[in-house]
Amino acid sequence: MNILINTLVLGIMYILASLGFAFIFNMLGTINLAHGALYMVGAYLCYYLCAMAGVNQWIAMVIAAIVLAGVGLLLEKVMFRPFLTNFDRIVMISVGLITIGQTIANILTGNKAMVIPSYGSGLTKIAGTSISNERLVTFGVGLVLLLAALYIVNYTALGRQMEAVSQDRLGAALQGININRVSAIVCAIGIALAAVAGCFMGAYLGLSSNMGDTMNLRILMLVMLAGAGSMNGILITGTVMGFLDTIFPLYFAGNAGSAIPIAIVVVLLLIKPEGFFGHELKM
Amino acid sequence: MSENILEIKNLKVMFGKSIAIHDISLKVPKGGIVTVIGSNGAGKSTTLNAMMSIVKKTAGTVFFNGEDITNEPTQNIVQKGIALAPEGRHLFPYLTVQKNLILGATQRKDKDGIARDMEFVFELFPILKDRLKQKAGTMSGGQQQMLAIARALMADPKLLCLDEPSLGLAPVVIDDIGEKIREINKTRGTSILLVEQNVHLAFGTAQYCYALQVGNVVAEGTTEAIRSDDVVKRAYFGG
Repeated sequence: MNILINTLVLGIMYILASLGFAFIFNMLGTINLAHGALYMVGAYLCYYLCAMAGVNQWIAMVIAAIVLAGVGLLLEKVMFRPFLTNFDRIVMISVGLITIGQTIANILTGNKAMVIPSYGSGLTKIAGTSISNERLVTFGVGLVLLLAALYIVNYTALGRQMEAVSQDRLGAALQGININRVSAIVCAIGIALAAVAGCFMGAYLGLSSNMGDTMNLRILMLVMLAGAGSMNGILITGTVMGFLDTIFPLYFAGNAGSAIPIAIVVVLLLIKPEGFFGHELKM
Repeated sequence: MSENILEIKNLKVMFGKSIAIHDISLKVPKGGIVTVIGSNGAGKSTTLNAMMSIVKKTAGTVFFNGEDITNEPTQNIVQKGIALAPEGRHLFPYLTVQKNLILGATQRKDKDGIARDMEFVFELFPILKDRLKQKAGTMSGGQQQMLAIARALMADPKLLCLDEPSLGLAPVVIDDIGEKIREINKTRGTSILLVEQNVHLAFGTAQYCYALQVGNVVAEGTTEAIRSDDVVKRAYFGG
């Protein structure tokens, strides 16, 4: 039971963090290497709002999400839009952002252990097992955000326009879709979701300046496994990834616990380099 | 208001240092069908893409209904009433026929009008109604071209631009497309700018014709006049 709930909590956080990355990947055709760093910045911002300004952790999360959404708008304007055809430059800017973010986080954290105040206290008994409320709340909020994102993608005009832009940019422009505006909204939503995931994970596992790297690795694996253009695939691979990351550390000490899931993903990608749920299979 | 729905004056487009369009001027009268013919690299598609602000204009002006739209972004041009079914169709292959059509009406708010135009395109191309839930990318070339034209019509354009609708299609299907183009023009009064390499389709459909060669207009006139023009004959019929 605990394994199940841990799988679900980790899985849904991975999915939330990955959604924005996948949106940007599908729509702009470029990868946002700084996505993990932004996830970390969201978590740190939330922590400092709680610790320094004494803000309630929920309000701090909302503020962090809004600020990071603003960062998303800015990045779309200064990084993605002008350099869309210049992948090298986007990578250089991303790596610069990661370095700056991590260095600042390092200076702030030092070797202190910092944790965002818990998003739920106490235990609930479900089917004979005690489960911390924090996990239930994390899972619940994550699920609501995820369903909201799925609703937007599948049932709204914005979602339809996102699909159109990701499938054919020229075709989309000729239908009168304002590509820049759609891209900006998507960057804002995607990066805000990463910030929310950062806040929850910062409460769950604590803060560290390299938490973004760990998440970046998960995000990349997840999106590659799912395949380009697949939203539903991310839901499945995210859950699988959460499961692998829950189960292996239980049986293998130290780094082996995190290395083995990565090895499994590498093997899966060797078998199916185009991913499991991409467009090629949907047709 | 002017009697020309579209007027392109002295358009020039450069890609880096190479000239794609040297100097092109053309007019489309209200309710008319005008065709632009020319071989590969003559600048036909570039003219349309520059008009739609998809590619940058180096010089020149574009008037639509007497209004200067030279520097408008693409979405505003669509909203004002120009729709382009581009070369290579550029459909959304993993979306259904229905969603492709709805996306064509992105800039419109009039629900009733959208529903009416949906009915109109189904009457025009009945096959699309049967394939409503099918993914666009899984249809045949001819059906995809019909969908591309239908999607452009969903914007309720005053000027419909078609870029090489005959590309890759069987002669029978091309004849069919030509008939539909005339039908759209007749029943809706939509002005049409048809860019074609297939002179058979172009001459069979249009009233007025421009012939392009390496970024310049080399001949223009009524289709009958152009058909017998020496320059065009040499370029296209090997005369």
